[in-house]
Amino acid sequence: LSGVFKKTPEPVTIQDNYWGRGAKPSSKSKEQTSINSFTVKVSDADLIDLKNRLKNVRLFEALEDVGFQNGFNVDYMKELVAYWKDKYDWRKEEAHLNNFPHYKTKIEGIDVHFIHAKPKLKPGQTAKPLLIAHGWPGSVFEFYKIIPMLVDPTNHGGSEEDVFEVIAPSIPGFGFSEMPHKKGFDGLAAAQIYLKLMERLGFEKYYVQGGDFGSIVTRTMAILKPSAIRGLHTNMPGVEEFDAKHMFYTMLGSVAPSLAGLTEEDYNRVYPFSGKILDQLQESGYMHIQSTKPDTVGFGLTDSPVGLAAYILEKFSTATNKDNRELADGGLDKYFTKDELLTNVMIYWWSRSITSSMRIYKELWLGRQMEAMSMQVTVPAGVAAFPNEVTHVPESWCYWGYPNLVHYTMMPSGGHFAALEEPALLAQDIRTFVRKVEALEK
Amino acid sequence: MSYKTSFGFASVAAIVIGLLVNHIANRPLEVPEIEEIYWGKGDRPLHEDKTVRKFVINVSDDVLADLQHRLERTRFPDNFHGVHFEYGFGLDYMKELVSYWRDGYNWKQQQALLNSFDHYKTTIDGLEIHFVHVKPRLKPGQKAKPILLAHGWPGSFFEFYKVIPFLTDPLKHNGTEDDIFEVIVPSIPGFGFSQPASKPGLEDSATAVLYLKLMERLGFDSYYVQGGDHGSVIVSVMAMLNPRVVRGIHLNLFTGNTETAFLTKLLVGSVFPSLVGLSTEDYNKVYPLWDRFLWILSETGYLHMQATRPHTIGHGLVDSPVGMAAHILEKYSTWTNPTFAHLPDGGLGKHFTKDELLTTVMIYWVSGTVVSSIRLYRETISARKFPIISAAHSIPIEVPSAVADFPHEMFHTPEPWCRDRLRNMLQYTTMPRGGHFAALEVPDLFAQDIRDFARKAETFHSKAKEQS
Repeated sequence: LSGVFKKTPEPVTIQDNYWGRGAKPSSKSKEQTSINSFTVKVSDADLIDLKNRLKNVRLFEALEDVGFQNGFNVDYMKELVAYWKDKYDWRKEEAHLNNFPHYKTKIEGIDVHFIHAKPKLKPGQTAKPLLIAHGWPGSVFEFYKIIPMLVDPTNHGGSEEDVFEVIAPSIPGFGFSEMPHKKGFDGLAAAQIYLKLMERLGFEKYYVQGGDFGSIVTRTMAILKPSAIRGLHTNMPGVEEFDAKHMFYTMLGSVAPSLAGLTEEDYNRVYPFSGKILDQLQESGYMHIQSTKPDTVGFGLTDSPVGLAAYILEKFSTATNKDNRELADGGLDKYFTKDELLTNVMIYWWSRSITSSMRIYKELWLGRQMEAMSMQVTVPAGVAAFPNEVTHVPESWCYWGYPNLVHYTMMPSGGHFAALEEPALLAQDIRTFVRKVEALEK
Repeated sequence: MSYKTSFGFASVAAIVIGLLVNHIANRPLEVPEIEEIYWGKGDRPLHEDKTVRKFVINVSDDVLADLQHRLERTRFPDNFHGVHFEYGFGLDYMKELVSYWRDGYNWKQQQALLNSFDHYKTTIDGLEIHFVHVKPRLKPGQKAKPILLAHGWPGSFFEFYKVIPFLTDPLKHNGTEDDIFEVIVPSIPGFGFSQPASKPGLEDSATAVLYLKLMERLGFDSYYVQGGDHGSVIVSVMAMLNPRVVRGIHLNLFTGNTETAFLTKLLVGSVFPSLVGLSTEDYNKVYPLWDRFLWILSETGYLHMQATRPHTIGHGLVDSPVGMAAHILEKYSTWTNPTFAHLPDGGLGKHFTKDELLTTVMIYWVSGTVVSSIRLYRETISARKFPIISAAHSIPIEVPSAVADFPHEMFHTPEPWCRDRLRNMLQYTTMPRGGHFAALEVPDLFAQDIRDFARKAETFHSKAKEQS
C-alpha cells in the first residue's frame, strides 16, 4: 500500500549552513574551532528583577477549575509562585548546574553549548562516548540524574563495562546555546551541528540517545552520517504518522491485533485510537501555535516568568501521565520536585530562549525535515517504550523506521520526560542496548 | 505522490464519508431550547436589580502606574533576521510600539475619547452587562432606527467608534435625514467592562439571549442587528430565537452553514463551479481548497490553543502587557490583509493608528478580561453547546438580511450560497476594500452599507404591513 502512495525521497546531505548574524564569512577566513569553558552565572540584578516580577504577578480568576482541564491551574500557580519567590534558591541550583563541566564552541556561526561529563577511568579502561539529546520544552538539566549513572555505573547499579563519556548539547536556540539568526533551522540543521560537534571533540564513532525533538535530531544524525553512529537509542521512536502504512496497520490492529503485529500490551497502549486522536487534538494547541506563530506567543513568555512556567510546566504535567489533567496540581508534585521543574524553566528564562526554541516547530514543516522523517535509520537501534509516553509505537512497527532494531523494552513505568522521571530505568536500558550492539559487532 | 497528496485523498474520503453520515443523521431543523442560566456567583437571588446605571470609564492611577512599570521593564527575545510578521508579531515593530506605549501614548486622553459616548451597565442573569448607548439628536417627528452592533474577538465596542457618528449624525457624514440610527453597542460578557461569567457555558448563543434581554429592558421591540466575527454568530442566534424583534440583520462575516447542501456544493464547485452558481471571481475567492485549508491552518493556532487549554496561554497574557498586545494585535495585521505579514510593521500602520490599536489592548488590559475572553472558544466547543451552535448555522433566517463581503475577510461566501440560509437577503455587497476589522478600517463603507440595507428593509416592512 505504501508503495502506491509514496515516492522515494532524494537523500539528505550535509549543507553549507551559516546561522550567525550578518553575512556568512568568506571561505578564506579561518573558522573558529576553540572549545571554551563556560560557567552558568546569573547577575544579582537579574535575580532581583525576577523576584520583582514574581511579587507583582497579575493572575486571573479560575472558573470551577478542578484540575488542569483548562490548562495550567491558576490556583496551583499561586502556590508555585509563593514557593518560587520565597523558597526556591537559584544560587543553589546554579551551583548544582555547574557540577558538570560546561563548554561552548562556535559551529556554523553560533555558539553551541554542551556539557561534557568524563568518567574517572581505571588504567586500560575505555569509556563509550554517548551524545544525549534533549527536546522541547526540556533542556540538558533533564539529564542531571542520569548522567552520574552513566559515567559512574558501579555506584549506580551497573558494572565496570557500562561506563560512558557523556556529551549533552543544548539545541541551538535553547538554553545556553546561541539562537540561529536565520530562517531554516530544523532537525536537519541541528543534526548537522551535533555531528560537527562530536567530530570537533574527536569522536569518530559514538552512541546517541534522544527523546522528543532529541529523538528527531539523533535519528537525522544517523541518516546523514550512519558511519558515525555506533548505535541509536530512543525513548520516543519516530514513525511517520501520516504514512498510509501506519494508518492501515492502525485500522487493522483495532480489529485483528495479532495480524497487525501487536501484543496485548501494545493493544492497550495504542487503542482506543479515536480517543487518542481526540486526546491529541486536546493537547496539540501548543504545537499548532508554535508551528505557525511562534513569535507572537513568545512575547508573553519572554516577559512573564509565570507565563513561561505555565506554558512549559503544563507539558510536564500532561505528557508525564494523561490522568494528571484531573489533579489540582496537575500531578506535578507527585512526579517531580518544584526545584527540578523551576530550574528547567529558569534555563529558558535567563537565556530568553523560549521564542527561538518554539521556532523549530515551524521550521519542521518548511524544509525537508518531514521527508527525512520517512527515511530509515540503518544503524543498530534500541527503543525504550515508556507506558505513559504520548504515543506508543509497537515493536513490530518500529522496524518500518528502524529496520536494524536490536532492542525493544516495554518499560513498567514512566512518561515523556523519562530521563528526569525514571533515570535508573532509562540508564539500565541504555546499558543493555549498548551491550547488545557490541555483542553483535563481534 | 507526495504525503501531501495521500493526505488530501484521505481528507476527501473522510469528507465523503462524513457527508453520507450527516445525510443519514439529518433531522428536520427546529429552534433549540436554550436553558435559562444564572451566570453570576451562587444562586439567582429572589430580587434582581434591573436598573440601568450610567457608567464612566475611570481607570485608577495604580493600574496605570503598574502598567508603566511593566512596560519599562519589558524583556524581549533576541533578534531574528529575514522575517517581519511571517513567524508571528514582528519583534522590531513591537519594540517601536512599546516605546510609544511607554512614552507617547496618553491613556487619559483615550479614556476621555471612550467616554465621549455614553456608557451604561445593567445586571442581567447575574452579570453586569456593559454597553454604549448613543442617542441621536432628533428633529420633531423624526424617528431613529435602533441598531445593536455586536463585536467579536479580539475586538471590542471600541471598533465601532468611527462608525457610530456616521449612523447617529448622518447629515454630517454623507448621509440623509432618513439614515438616522440610535446605536447600542454591548460588550460580550468577559470582554472589557462586561462581567465574566462565574459558571461555565457562556458562549455566543448564551450571549445572544443576554443581548435580547438587554434590548427588551431598554424598551426596544423592533430593531436592527449587525455583527462580524463572533458578533455575526450572536446576532444570527438572536434572529433565530426571536425573529419578531429583529427588524433586519446585517453581517460582515457569514460562514454559510454546516449542512450537507453546503459541503456538497463546496466539493462539487471545485470542479464544476457554474453548477453551483459560482462566477469566476467567486471561484477564485473560494478555491483552491487545499491552499485555503493550509491558510486556515496557519491562522488558527490561537483558536486551537484557546479552545483546548486557555489557561496555559492565559497566564502570560494577563501578566505581560506586551504578551497581550502581541496576541491581540497580530490579528489586526493578518486578518486585515494576509500579505501584510511581509511588511516590517505587519501593515498595522496602513489602516490603524497606534492609539487605536493600543486602546483596544488597554480595554482588555485594564479590565483584566483577556483570559475570560479566550475562554469563549473553549465554551463554544463543549458538547452541550454543539446542537445549539449547529442549529444557529443551519436554521434559515427569514427576517430581512444583508451581507457585506469584504475582500480580505477570512471567508468568502458567494452570494448564491448565502441564500441557502438567508432566505430574505435584500442586499449582498461585494466591497471594494477592507478586511476582518471592517468597522475600524473602512467605517464609511461599513456605515453606508448599513444605511442602504436599512432603507431596503424599511421598504420591505412597509410593504408587508400594507399587505397584512
